[in-house]
Formats: sequence, structure tokens, C-alpha cells
Amino acid sequence: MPRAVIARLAQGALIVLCVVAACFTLVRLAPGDPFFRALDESTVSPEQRALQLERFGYDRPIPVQFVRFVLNAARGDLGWSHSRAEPVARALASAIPASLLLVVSALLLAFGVGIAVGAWQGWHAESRLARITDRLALGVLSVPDFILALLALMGPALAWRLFPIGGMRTEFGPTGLAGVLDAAHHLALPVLTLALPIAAVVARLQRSAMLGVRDADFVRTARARGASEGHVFRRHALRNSLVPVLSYAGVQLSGLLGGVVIIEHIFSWPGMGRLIYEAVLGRDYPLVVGGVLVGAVCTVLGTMIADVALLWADPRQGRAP
Amino acid sequence: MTRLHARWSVRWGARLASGTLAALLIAALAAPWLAPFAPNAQLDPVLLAWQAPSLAHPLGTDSFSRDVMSRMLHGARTTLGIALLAVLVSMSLGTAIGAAAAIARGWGDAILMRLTDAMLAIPRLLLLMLVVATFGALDNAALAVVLGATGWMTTSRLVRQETRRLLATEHLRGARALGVPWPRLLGRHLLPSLAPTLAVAATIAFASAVPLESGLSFLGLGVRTPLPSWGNILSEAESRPLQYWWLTLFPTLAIATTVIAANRLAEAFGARLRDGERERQSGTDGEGERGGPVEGRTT
Repeated sequence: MPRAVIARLAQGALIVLCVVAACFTLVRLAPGDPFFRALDESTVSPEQRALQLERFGYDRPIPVQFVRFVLNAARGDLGWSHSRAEPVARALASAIPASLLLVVSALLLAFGVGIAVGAWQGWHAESRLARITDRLALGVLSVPDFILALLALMGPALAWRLFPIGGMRTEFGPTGLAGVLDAAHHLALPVLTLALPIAAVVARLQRSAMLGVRDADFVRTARARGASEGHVFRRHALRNSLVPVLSYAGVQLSGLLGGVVIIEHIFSWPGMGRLIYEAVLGRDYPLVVGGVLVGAVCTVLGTMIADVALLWADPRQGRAP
Repeated sequence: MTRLHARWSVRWGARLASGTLAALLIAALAAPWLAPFAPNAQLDPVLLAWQAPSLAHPLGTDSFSRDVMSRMLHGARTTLGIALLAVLVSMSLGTAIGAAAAIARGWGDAILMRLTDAMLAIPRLLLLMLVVATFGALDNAALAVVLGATGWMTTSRLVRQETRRLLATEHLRGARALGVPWPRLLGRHLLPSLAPTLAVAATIAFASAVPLESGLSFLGLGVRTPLPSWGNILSEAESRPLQYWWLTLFPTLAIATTVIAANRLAEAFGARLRDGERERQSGTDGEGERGGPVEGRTT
């Protein structure tokens, strides 16, 4: 198993390097230099501009810039955000915790609910309720998350006033335990809208995996040697049916991080998505590149965690070449 | 019994879905004739702004007193047109890359698939935002091309898997043994056999292109106003989505209906593909496939 993990780490590093190269190339293809917005005033002399370009290293040959970019990024230095006048890493670090809270809660909720519902649907595939909920899941997974977010904003938040319409906590609000409840109240709608479509996809995958496992020989054998129904379900059927769902988790993360941008915009959530959105409006591309890199690293890490979980659920995977 | 029931409902669901999509496409094509007003005509900015749905304006009017129904119809042209062009681009790229990887094997296969993995690791919306940040406003054709260029990965994976399976079949092995040249082998033997897989991949790509374009336009980074698209009509009421509910509800319904119908169709195509596979395996000529490199599934 350690060998498989090391191989995956190396593969992940390679993927991140590819992403860095792609971002770097894209930015270099863009017209103008990184200052063309900030310094395009008639009062800025060409000499001043050249001085600034030299100061930030934008005048060096492209390969040199690339190596410097990679080495700096490896040390956690992602460059200078021109729109916020602070290092990109600091701007991102201030926004990441809020996004992480949103994404991790959404993932836990989506996979918890999805696996539970899907496993139940697969185990009781003949029941009418299981069929109806499966149809429902197909409908839900088709609705784009920002549409769900707008509907959630219109109904529960604006019309019925059950939830706050945005932000992460009430201004000058309560602290301590009441503060945590306040944050949870703010968190509810964004997390639900992010989690619902993923939960539907997970439930459908889990359902079909459970259907495949339910009549397998090893389940019948477990029953034949007198194991209780609960034991057969948990130890034999559920664990084996988790494989396709877990291998899907990493892929899902990438889509989730995209959805976060729009959800944070709609619910004014002070996270990375909103930061990147504002950076795009200001055409501050060092900051956007930083955001894309963080997103890619998160996806790669998520895929690796999913892979390790996969090794736990199905130890045979590690032995395959 | 349940099998029969399932198959029946799949068929009706698929008919309903393809009917809906066809109706939307016809509405988009006929928009100039169907729309009661010009999409950008400001009818009376003083008296007719923010009108709720009425007989004269079935879907209401927006802040500039433009007729929302006309904008929705013309918006369908933009949204569906961009999505279809994006699908064309992503299908061409995905098929080329997937088939090349399957044919090349070894190092070429590894490089192309790692490229696919790397592209999958970048959140697509973030990548699109990076493009907008670096190049500024994109026109519609460029937007479609960029959408396609960031969405070929699913297709290339599906095509690679299916091509590997097909190359091991008696039919293609026979064609190669007879010395059929590669261009002819690809065009006449491989591509037609890939068609069912491509149909599934295209509907999936369409179902993901529509919300992406709408989301970008909603954020103000996609289709630029005054040109209507479902996404930017949606953003008109952003300040007060409940008070101007018609500006939120109708684009929302249009986008959701399109995506649900496309997903339903993809589901039906997928079911037919699986049925075909099952028949092939239970049929007489299933022998030749089992020995081939079908094990590519784990990657």
C-alpha cells in the first residue's frame, strides 16, 4: 500500500506541474503586460513602466520566468496581487478558511446522505419509495447548482425569511455557542444548494453499486454461514459497493469548486470564489492564477484521499499494476 | 416485469426529452418570427419598466422596458447556439485525443491520459474565469470555442475506452489484417462504430455546456448585454429576485428544463448502449471481445 500511495503522490505532483505550466502559458498568451490596467495612465512614463516590469521580473526570458514562477510557487510565494495590493498568498489565505468550511460541510453532507439513501434504495430496490426517490434524484442532479441557489434565495430566505440572505455571520452578532449557531444558520442554504445535486449523483451511483453487489456470491455465502442481516449489509454489501462511489469523489471535487464561485457570489459568502470573481473583474490575473492553482491542488489532494479510502474499501486495488 | 416497466418508462421519458429539446431548438431558430418585439427595443422606459406578466407582455418586462418573452426567445438562440458549437468543439477534440491515445498505446497513451487528468484537476469554471481575466471580454464564438476546449475530457475518456474495445474486435482486427489503410480504417470502420458512444458523450457535453454558459453570463463574464442570453436575463433581477420574480423564474425554468431534458436523453442513450452490450455478450459473437484489452476500465 505505501508504494501505491507514493506512486499516486508523484502522479499528483506531475498533474499540478502540468496545471502550473498551462496557467503560465495562458497568461503569457494574453495581450499586454500584467500592468496594462494599473499603469495605463498618461501620467505614467515609459521609463517608470519599464522599471516596474523589471522590478517584478516580467522583462526576463519566458523560460527563466517559468522556472522562477515554479520555484516561488513551491515556496508558497504566488506573486503580487495588483488589485488588492498584497501578496497573492496572503489574499488567498484570508479567504480559504471560509470556502473550506463551505466545501467540506457540503461534501460530508452530500456523501453522507447520498451513500445512506443510495444504499437503502439498492437494498430495497423493489419498494415503491425506492423507485420514486430514484426518479427524484435524477431530476435533482440535473438542476444546475446556481439555479438551486437562486430558488433557495427566493423561497426560504426572501419570501419566508427563515434564513439570512447572505454573509457568514451576523454583524455585531452573538459570540460563543450562540455565535456558532448563528454561523450554522448562515451556512445552511449555501451548503444545501451545493450538496443536493452531488448527493443525488452519489445516491444513484451507490444504488446501482448496491444492486450489483446485493446478489453476489459472497453476500449469499455470508448469509449462508448465519451472519445477521445487519452484519451482511454493513460488512459485506455496503463496503464492497462503496468502491465506485469513492472513485467518483475526486472528480466531483473539481466541479464543486467551480460551483462554489457562483454560490459564494449569490450568498455573499466571503470565500475564495468571491475573491477570484473580484480578481477577474479587476483583471488581476496573478490572483486568478493563484486561485486556479489552489483549486487544482485541492482537487488532486481530494482525489488522493479518495484513492486511499478506495484502498481501504477494496485492498485488491493496491495490488493492481 | 420491472425490466419491462423500466424500459417502457425510459422510452417515454426519452421521447418527452427529445420533444422538449426539439421544441426549444425550433423556438430558438424561429425567434425573429415568434418574438412579439425586437429583443433590444426599449418600449417605454418610463411607463413600461418592471412590468409583471400581462397579456401584452406574457413574461413581463425588464428594467429597460424590454419585452422579456422576446429576450427569452432570442436568448435561446444565443444560449443553445453557443452550447451546440461548444459541443462540436469538445466532441472533435475529445474524439481525436481519445482515439489517438487508444491507437498509440504505451507512452503516447500515458501522456495523453495524464493531460486529460491534469485538465480534469482544474475546476472548469475557474479555468474559464482565468481566460476571461487574461483576454477580457470574449465574443460568442470565442466563448463557445473556449467552453468546448475545456470540456473534452469526458469524451476523450469514453472514446479511448470504446476504441480500445473496438480495436480488439474481429471486425477491426480483420480490417487491419486485410491491410486497410489507417485513414479508411478510422473513417469507415472505427468512427461509425463509435457513433453510439459519441451520442452519449455529446448529450452529456450539451447538458454541462448550457449551465456553464448561463452561469458565466449570470456573473457578467459570458455573453455581454445587450445581447440576450438566459444567463444574463437572470442577472437583470439580481438585486431583487423576489420582487421581480418573472425575471428570475422564466430563465430558471428554461435552463432547468433544457438540462433535465438533455440528461434524460443521455440516460436513455446510455441505457440503449448497455442493452446493446448485454445482447452482444449473450449473443454468439461475444468470444472475440473477451480476450482483448478491455481491462482499461481501472484508469
